[in-house]
Formats: sequence, structure tokens, C-alpha cells
Amino acid sequence: MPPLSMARYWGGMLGFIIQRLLQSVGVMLAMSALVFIGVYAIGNPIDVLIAPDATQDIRAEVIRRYGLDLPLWQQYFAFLGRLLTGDFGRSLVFDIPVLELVMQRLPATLELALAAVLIGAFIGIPLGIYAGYRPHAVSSRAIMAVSVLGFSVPTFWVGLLLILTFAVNLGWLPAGDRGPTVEVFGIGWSFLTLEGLSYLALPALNLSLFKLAMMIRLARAGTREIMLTDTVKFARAAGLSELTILRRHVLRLISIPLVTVFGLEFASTLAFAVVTETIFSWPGVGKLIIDSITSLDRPVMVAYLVLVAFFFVVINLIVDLSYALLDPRLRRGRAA
Amino acid sequence: MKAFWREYRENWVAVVALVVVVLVVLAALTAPIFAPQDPYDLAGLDLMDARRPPGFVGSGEYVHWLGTDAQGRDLLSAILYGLRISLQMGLVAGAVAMTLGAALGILSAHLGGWVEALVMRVVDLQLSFPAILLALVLVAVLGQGKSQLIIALVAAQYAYFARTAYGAATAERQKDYVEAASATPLPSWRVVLRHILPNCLPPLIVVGTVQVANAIALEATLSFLGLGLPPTEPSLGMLIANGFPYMMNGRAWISVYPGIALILLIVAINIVGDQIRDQFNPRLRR
Amino acid sequence: MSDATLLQVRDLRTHFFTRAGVVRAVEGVSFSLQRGEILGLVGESGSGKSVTGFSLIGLVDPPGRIVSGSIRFDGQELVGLKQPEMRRLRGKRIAMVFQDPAATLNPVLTIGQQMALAVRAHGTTSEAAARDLAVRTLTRVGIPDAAARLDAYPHEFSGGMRQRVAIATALLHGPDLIIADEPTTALDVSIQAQILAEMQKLAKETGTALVWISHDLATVSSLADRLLVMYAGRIVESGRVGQVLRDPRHHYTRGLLDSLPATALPGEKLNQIPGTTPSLLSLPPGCPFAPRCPRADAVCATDPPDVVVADRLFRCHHPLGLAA
Repeated sequence: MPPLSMARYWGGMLGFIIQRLLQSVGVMLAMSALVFIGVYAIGNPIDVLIAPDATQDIRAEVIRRYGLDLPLWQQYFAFLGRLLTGDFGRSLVFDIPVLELVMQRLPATLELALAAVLIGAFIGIPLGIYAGYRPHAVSSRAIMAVSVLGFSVPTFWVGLLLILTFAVNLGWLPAGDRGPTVEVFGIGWSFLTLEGLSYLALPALNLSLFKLAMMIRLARAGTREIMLTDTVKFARAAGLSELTILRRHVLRLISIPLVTVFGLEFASTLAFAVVTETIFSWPGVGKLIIDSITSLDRPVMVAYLVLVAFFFVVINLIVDLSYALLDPRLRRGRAA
Repeated sequence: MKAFWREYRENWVAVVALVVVVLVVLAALTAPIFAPQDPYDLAGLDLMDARRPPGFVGSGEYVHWLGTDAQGRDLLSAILYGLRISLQMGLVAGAVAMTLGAALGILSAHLGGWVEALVMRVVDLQLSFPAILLALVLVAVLGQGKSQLIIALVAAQYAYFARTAYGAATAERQKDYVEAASATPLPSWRVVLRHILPNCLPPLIVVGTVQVANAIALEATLSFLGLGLPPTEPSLGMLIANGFPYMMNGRAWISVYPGIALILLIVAINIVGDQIRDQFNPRLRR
Repeated sequence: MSDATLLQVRDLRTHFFTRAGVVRAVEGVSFSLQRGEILGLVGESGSGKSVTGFSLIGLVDPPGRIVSGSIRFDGQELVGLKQPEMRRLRGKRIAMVFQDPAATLNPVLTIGQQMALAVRAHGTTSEAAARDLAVRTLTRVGIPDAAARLDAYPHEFSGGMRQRVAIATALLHGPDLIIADEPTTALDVSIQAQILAEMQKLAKETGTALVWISHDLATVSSLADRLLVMYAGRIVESGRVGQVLRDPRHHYTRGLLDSLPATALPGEKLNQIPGTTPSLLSLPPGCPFAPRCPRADAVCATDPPDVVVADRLFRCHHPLGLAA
């Protein structure tokens, strides 16, 4: 690219990034307002912040400290201010700052979700491309049947079956807890040891099934459509092998929608981890939120929701940016 | 209608699925007649019968074809009654979500302006947000119970209907005959009822079928997590959860049979829904 | 077959097996092509001209397939050839250019990447050598500053330039035969003329034979040496361009010529062929053009014979220009 258009390109990108950042802040504000209304205004805010067995003095103290006697909008801004400083309050059950609690549990969930999304992508995309390439083959129909099952069968049931098969009947893999972790950067990770991996395997597989189904479906639909285009015919006419066409042309073309879904799915995977973590007693934030719902530990609930919303927004932003990197047409469209 | 059925019959998998759905619904409807035992009648339970394997003849002197659960309940009866509750929740939530969503979608397409902008923005935001999380939050905030659960399910699902109805209605709105009808002095609600609504129905039915299955699955998930219905009204999800602790020590049937019933129902509804969608979709016709 | 003959097609039949029935898109087509010759293949849409082109390069999409006939290319039989062997011919010795360059080029790969894939489809070549070949070929088809343009994406080119890129891709390995399926239809008229002239020049320079498929008789006749006129999957007339234009034998060819604006006087109404192209699903026996033909009579309900006079061929019971 000549220097002038390069400058215009980056200028355009910068504007685009700023615009998307502002949008993200807007969504975060909206989400925080929703969480605030949901947990603080609909529920009783005193229940949110004070243990039911607290004394009258503590009650009065907390009401004053959190300004629960103030008008709603003032409370919201105070709430926002506390969020921005990372003050989510203390967990009623664990009696440590919520932020600390969530941060302790977060790596386990991130590891699980990442493993699941990667399994979904690295198995699902090739299978989907194959099913789209040979839509009428028996093997493709089998792949699609798996995808239909993955979509419709609830995650928790698949988890149970996995435990029943691999842990109870075959005894190959452990089915609960996280097992040993290796500390890197002060955070424990499972994937670094074989034993850790064996603990990670079943929950990750369980969580990945829905992503797998979705990746298969998307890759198949995209491939089917692209195989009929003149781009593929032209590549064939140039003597490219089918494998090269699939790898270089088709994969590249379907990667654009796949990246979007991949990103969005990562956010929803964090949410779905709730179920998987409960079944496999995986000590992540998902298990934490269920425990805090059943024990009415509402500061933890708020922190979790804001956190998921935050991840969601950040991932959306990353997806949008990588979109612009993957699709040259978009790049110019936005730069111009 | 006849042609529709003829085309439907071509796919034998879909026919089997439809038969399964009909049978399951019938079984759920007639549960009080055919179930060997009333699982909610605590007086009829005997702890001596608890956790017995399939085929066991208990104190009631009849065969527990699917075994018994931890309370000594006949599992077959529990499943039949559980199906009733699961189906009921799925259908009610689906119907409410469909009505609400369709109304919102069609209205915002019809009214346009800021109503359209606001409603569709919220819908889009919600669609990109995992439904299960929303349901979790609502259950957490509202507490447990049938109506609370239905509210949570509706909140998690109405957006799909709104999006679908909106899409169909805007497509319809741009067609000539609707524009022509709008130009006549007919009241605009009549245009909506006579022209727009009927054309939104096919896609809504398709989404509706799948969403009923999703509602059942979501309800089961919430109940499994202990956030669904109270234990006095055990749906399939809770039956599965109740059996979960016994899975590790060889009494898998307590979870497995309710699970099979659930999966059968959900997968069958999904297959029927897929078939209807394919038949409504002119692009896939060959 | 003499050494000068590059391609000999005999009684080619390509059918599509659809749910509604068998579509006989190409029904008994025979022709031959000399090295370096430019053959114009003309017909309305649905006449089977594109399917003929795809049959030659072995790219008929299912549910279609070649059911019978023979395609001899430089002495080698292509019908029934295994796909890997066919693939080695494609791009190397038989190339193809399509109608819409916006649809043929991959929008998310640079021109250089796409051309490099085409170069490397036939033998391992270094990245640098592949780029070098691409630059040289792009320059040959008239793309200025080709080396700098190699890293551009298709959308950064104009329609005419994109088609030049596609043509350059077809020319990479110096093929013996290029099948061009309406390559100028999607372009502006002024650019059409440029591309036509350049294709003609390139073909003559390199000795590449061209099969130029078009519905536009005017374009083809300015370029081709010989014409094939197709109707309903069959060749109804063929011959040297001058002969066919000046002295058509088939009523369909006559109709096509009459509907050209150039032959009409200013202000005069353009002639149209009455009726529409028949459905290939339910073709009546006999001459397929009979329902639209001004001269049709009872004889036309039987299959017309192939009449070969000198180097011309036509299929008509009542040929024009001959005292019958």
C-alpha cells in the first residue's frame, strides 16, 4: 500500500476503534443500570448488602454508608462509582471482598471456557466444512445428526452421560473437582500437567458440545454456499486441488462469520459454564454464582453479572476489530 | 394443508419424531389414569421401596418397571407426572413469549420511529446475551415458584419471537399490497390483523416449536441446578437432579430414565420443528 | 485427426438429473477446433452453450454429468478421465475465464495470493518465482505497475481490470485452450472492446485456441474465426463467421441476425424471434425450433438431419438460401 493510503487506513481504523469504544462504554452503562435495577431496585437492597441476621446497628450503619436513603438515581451513581473503583462489597458467605473472591475463581472458568471453545472450533470447523463439501454423504449426515443433538440436548444431561460413561462405567477420567494445578504467574492452571488435563477433559468436552454443534452448522452452511460460487469454479478451472480450495479459499471466506460467532460464543460459554461447573464441581465463577444464588450472597451475584457483561463487551469489541482485519472490503469501507 | 402433510410424510425421521411427540403428550395427559402410583401422595410412599432397580416388585405389589427413586417413588409414575409439568411449563412459557414477542415485533415494525429503534435495540442486545444467564438472574431476584419460573423463561425467550415477527412484518410492510391497503381508509389495526399478522405466522410457528423445546430444556436445567420449581412439583429436571448423587454408586437409573424421557421429548420436538422450517423455507425446495 | 486439430468433440451429451426430470442441456454436440483458432459459441441463455464449455473442462456440477460422447483433447480422451488427471490439465493446458470477475476472484485474498495458488497448483514453485510469473502475466494483459498491484485485493480494481486479472490467471501456464464464458458481458461497452481486442491479440501471439461463449452475436463475430450456433442443447448451424453472418442457413440464426441493432435501419423496429426458448424438460420430438419458426410445417415434427456442405453444417428441413 502506498504511504498515503496507509495513513488514511490507520486514520480510519482509529476512528473506527474510538467509535466502537464509545459504543462499548454505552453498553456497559446500560448493563450496569439493568443489574442495578434488577438486583438493587426490584430486590430489596437491604437484603443485598446486609446479612439477614445482622443487628439493628449494623443495618443502620450500612444503610447510611451505601446511601440507601438517597433517591434512586443518586444511588445508581454511587453504585457506578463503587464499581469503577472495584468495590463490589464483601461476600456474605466467605466474608472476603467480592472482587478478590471472583478473581480467585476466574482463571478456572477462563481455562475451561477457552478449552471448550477451542475444542469446538478445532473439531467443529473441519467437520462442518466436510459436511458442507459432501452434503449428501452418509458421514455428513452423521455429523449433522451430532450437531442436532448438540443443539437440542441440554448441557447438564450430556454432562451426566459423560460422567456415567467415562468416569463411572469406564473409569478412565475423573469426574469432579479440578485436580492438581500448576502455578504460573501466581495462578493455578490445569492444562500444564497430564493429570490436570485429565480433570479438564470431561468438563471441557461437556461445555464444548454446544459450540461444536454451532461451529459444525455454521461451517457447513458457509461451505455449502461457497462451493456453489464462481470463486470455487474459477479455482477449480485453474487446477487447484480440492484440498487447497477448501483450505485456502473456503476456510478463509467462512472465517469471517466464524470469528464473530467464536467471540460471541466465548462470552456465552462463560455463562453456560454455570451448568458444567455445577455438575463437575469445577471451582470456577459459574459454580460460585450458583452457590451465591442459593445462599442469597447478592454482592457476589452483582459482581458476577457486571463481570460477564464486561467480558461480553470486551469480546464484542475484539470481534469487531478482528472483523476489520479479516475482511479487506470492510477495512476500506470504513477507512474511506 | 394436505400438500403440507404429503411433503412431511416424505421424511420418515420427522414422522417418527411427530409420533413420539404425540405419544409423549398423550402419556403426560393421561398420567393420572395410567400411572401406577400418585407420586405426590406421600402417604403412598414406603422408604423400604427406595432406590430399587427396574423390575422390582415393591410393597404396592406391582412391578416398578423403571425402578424407584430415593423416596421410594415409582419412577415411571414420577416421570409421567414430571412430563406433565415440563410440558406445561414449556407450552405456557412458549405461548406467552410468542404472544408478547409477536406483539412487540409487529408493533415496532408497524409504528416505526423511536418505538422501533428502542424495542429492537433491546431485543438485539438480549439476543446476544445468553438466555440462561437472564433466567438465572430473574429466578434469583424473583425467588422460586411456577409463575416466577414462567416469567424467567418468557424473559429469556420473547426476544426470538420479537425478532422473527419484526423481520417478517417489515418484509411484508414493503410489499405493494400492504402499501395499497394502508392507503385505503381502513383503520391501520385492520391492515395489521388482516395482512401482516397472517404472514408472520409461519416463521413464528417454526420458531415457536423450537422455543417450546428450548423452554423445556431451560426449565429442566434450572430445576437441575435447584433454581426451578419447588420440590413439591418435581419436573423432569428435578428428577434427574435427585438421582445425580446416586449415579456414582451404580444406581444410574434414577437419573437416566427421566433423562431419556426429557431427551426424547426435546429432540423429537426439534426434529419436527426443523422439518416444518424446511417446508416453509422456499429456498430449500428443490 | 491432423496435428493441427486440438480438440475434437463427438456427439457430446450432458444431462442434468433433477427432481423434475432429466434436463438434456447438451444433446449430441459435435465440433472440432484447430490450434490457435477462435471459435464463437452463440446461443440464448439455456441453449446449453455454457454447459458445453464446462463439459470441456470437466466441471459440470451435479446433478449434471456427461452421459455419452467423446472429447479428444490433443489426442487424449477427456470423457471418463479421472479427476486427478483432469485437474492436472485444468489451468495448465485448458483454462477458463468466467462471466463476472467480481464473483470469480476471492474477495478476501490478494491478487498475488490467488495467482500464486494457481501457479503452484502445477508444480512446486518458490514464492518469488510464482510472484514473478504473476507480475509478468499481469503486465502482458495490460495491467500497469503490476508488481505493486499484486498485494491489492480484488475490490481495489475496476471491473475491467479484475477481468484482466482473471484472464492473466488463465494465461499463467500458457494453456493450449481457453474457454471464455461470456467474459465481457458484465463489463462496460468500451472496456468490452478493449478486452476483445487484447484477447484476440494474445490468442494469436501465443497460439492459444479460444472457445468464446456468448449470447451476443455481434461481439463474437468481431473476434471469432468460426461460429457455432446452439439452440436447445444442439448445434443448429456452424461455419466460418463471414459465411454464417452473410448467408445464414438456419431460421434461428436468421432471427438472431435480424434482432441485431446494427442490421436495422435507424428508426426501424428491431425484429424479435417470437416465442421463448423451450423448456429442455419437455422437448417435443423433431426440430426444437419449430414452434417459433416461420417456415415450420409437418416435416419439422421429425428430427432434421445434419447437413454438411463444405465446411458448414446446419440442421434444418427448410434451410435458407438454398433452392429447395
